[in-house]
Amino acid sequence: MAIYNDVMETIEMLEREHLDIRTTTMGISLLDCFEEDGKKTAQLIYDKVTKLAKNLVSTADAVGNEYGIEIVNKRISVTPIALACASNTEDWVLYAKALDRAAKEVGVDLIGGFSALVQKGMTKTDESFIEAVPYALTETERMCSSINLGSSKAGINLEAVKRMGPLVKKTAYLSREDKSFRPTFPEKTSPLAAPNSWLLQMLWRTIRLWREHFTESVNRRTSST
Amino acid sequence: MKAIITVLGKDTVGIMYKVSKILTELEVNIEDVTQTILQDYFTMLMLVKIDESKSNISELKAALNEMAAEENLSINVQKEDIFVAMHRV
Repeated sequence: MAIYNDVMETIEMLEREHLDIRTTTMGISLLDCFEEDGKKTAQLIYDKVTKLAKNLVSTADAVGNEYGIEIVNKRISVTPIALACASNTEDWVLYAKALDRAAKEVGVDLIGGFSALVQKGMTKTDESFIEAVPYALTETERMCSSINLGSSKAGINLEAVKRMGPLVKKTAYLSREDKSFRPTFPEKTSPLAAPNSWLLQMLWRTIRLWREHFTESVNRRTSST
Repeated sequence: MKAIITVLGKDTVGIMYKVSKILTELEVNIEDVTQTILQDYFTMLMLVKIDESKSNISELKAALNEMAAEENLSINVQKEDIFVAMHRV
């Protein structure tokens, strides 16, 4: 039967080429979680995430088991916090902790959405949010943060780009004692020790991008002369 | 539910018997079998039908994995759909 050839090919992919499903993501809206009181909001966020995602990990594992293909990371993505909890400028770290606690409770590897969308300009809320990001990242383990600085429609918000450098440095400094973001690696191994570590991947990527950029600018220069 | 069982490993006496014994115990029906020996290596593919009122894929997997560990074989159980989905447009 023709299917048996396909079976052997798939088995080879799984056994030899380590085919897996990198991640499965559950999207959760937090737009209905905002209250005047920060503590209440944090509790609502925690409750909603844990309620909706309580079966995420077990379901993903069950599906992976059924098909024989492992789903490596289970992840949650929520409404950008700076958007969902706008007008509140004090309790960002509280929300971050609520997200982190919820992620640990349901057992997902990552929770994303501690984010701001500032491509069209920053409000006071966004500014205070960005200030809080380094502290939030230091005090959480599984929470990820992002700041959207540009889009093809709105262009790039250079004012916000300028703030990113000090922000990244501050985050790095504050979290210098932490094991940082590498959820799929065992604890206490150096990221450089694992051959496929995120650090190396980032390095390769940077090198590649840099090389591309370099050859492009050389080409441009030679063609103009 | 249809599933495909792949058995790979060094050829010894009674591999097929042991696999089919487990299938019988779990009331899983064998619909098709293909089997060859490639350079001393036993390779068997089985298309089976699992009656979900009597057993399920994780039970079958657990039983076969236990046997695989004892006999030093590699046994995979996967839903048939995955092979169709991965190779047919």
